[in-house]
Amino acid sequence: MHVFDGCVFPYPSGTASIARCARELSSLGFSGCVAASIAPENKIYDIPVLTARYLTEVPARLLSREAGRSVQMNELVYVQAGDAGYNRNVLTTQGVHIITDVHTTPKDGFDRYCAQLAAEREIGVDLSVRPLIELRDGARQKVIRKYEEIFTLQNRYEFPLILSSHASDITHLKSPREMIRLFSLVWKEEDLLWESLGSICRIKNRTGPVVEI
Amino acid sequence: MRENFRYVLVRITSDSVFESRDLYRSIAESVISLYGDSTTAQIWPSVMQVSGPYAIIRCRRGLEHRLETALSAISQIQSIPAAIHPLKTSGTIRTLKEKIPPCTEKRSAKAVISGVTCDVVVSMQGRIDLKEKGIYHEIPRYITEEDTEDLYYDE
Repeated sequence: MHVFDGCVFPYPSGTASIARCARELSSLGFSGCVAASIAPENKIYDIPVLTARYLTEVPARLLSREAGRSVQMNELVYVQAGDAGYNRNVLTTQGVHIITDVHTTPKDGFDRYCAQLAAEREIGVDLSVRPLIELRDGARQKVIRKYEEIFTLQNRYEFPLILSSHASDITHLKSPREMIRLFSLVWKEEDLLWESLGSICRIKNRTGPVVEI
Repeated sequence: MRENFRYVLVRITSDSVFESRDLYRSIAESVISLYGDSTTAQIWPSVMQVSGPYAIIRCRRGLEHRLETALSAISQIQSIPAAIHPLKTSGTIRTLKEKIPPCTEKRSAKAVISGVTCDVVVSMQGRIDLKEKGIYHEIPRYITEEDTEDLYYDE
């Protein structure tokens, strides 16, 4: 069974090198991770490290150009979520693998139609554990409610969910068991949570929709 | 009536070493913040032992999952960035003491990274932490032996 941390930020975004992140995650019990960074080619780490391009605040008109531009081989494309219109645009753009930071969207920013699009196109929805740790009181309650909404939509439309630490420091890294515990504040079905830790492979190996010739 | 307790072995990840009192304050704050006073009273968290980066935390039986969640939600101790990773749960302290790995020594060394020589601390499995605080922007602070160009230990 694959257990991946959906997104970590190694140096220069964070304080730890990719090799150190991989070593820490390996000792915490992960079998792979996604690093939002440029990794040297042909370097072997303690666990498989997939690379990702993390696109933030990209205007809708530039989205397809940015998502289609491949900097590294086999990289994943993460796009930060926005309002409902923007998210629909993201979910219909070729080359996008994962929509992230959904907890920052305005009310109804990720609605039923977005959920349906994500399920049809096998685009993952990334949920970060960091707001559950770093926020307090009302802000954390708001994130829990938002995540609950996403889990409810997932339960109905079955789009891939990604759980990630969004760690930029080694103290931000969490073990799979800790991630499950923290997300169990939102959703009680542990089977779904464990499945979500392995969704990256499903997205990475996705095939396009069947096209009639 | 005698209470039934469960004990959780945890590993603390931080640059500093903490006393049990500091650890207790962070745990209590996290449990109260997540579950409120009434559940905290039921969980009854208590720090039994701290030895280096490992500690044993006690709670009432049946509420260990809640304690683990609250431990995972800790991001700092005494305003110093830290993480507490729950490792094992048991009914006795003795079982957990047996699971604590033998003390792993840290060694001071000098490492050359991107042409810069830095004072570092080398710990188990080639983990290297930079000591200097002003060079974070030029080179990563947490690295491994493979990231260095040269590494030589202090006498």
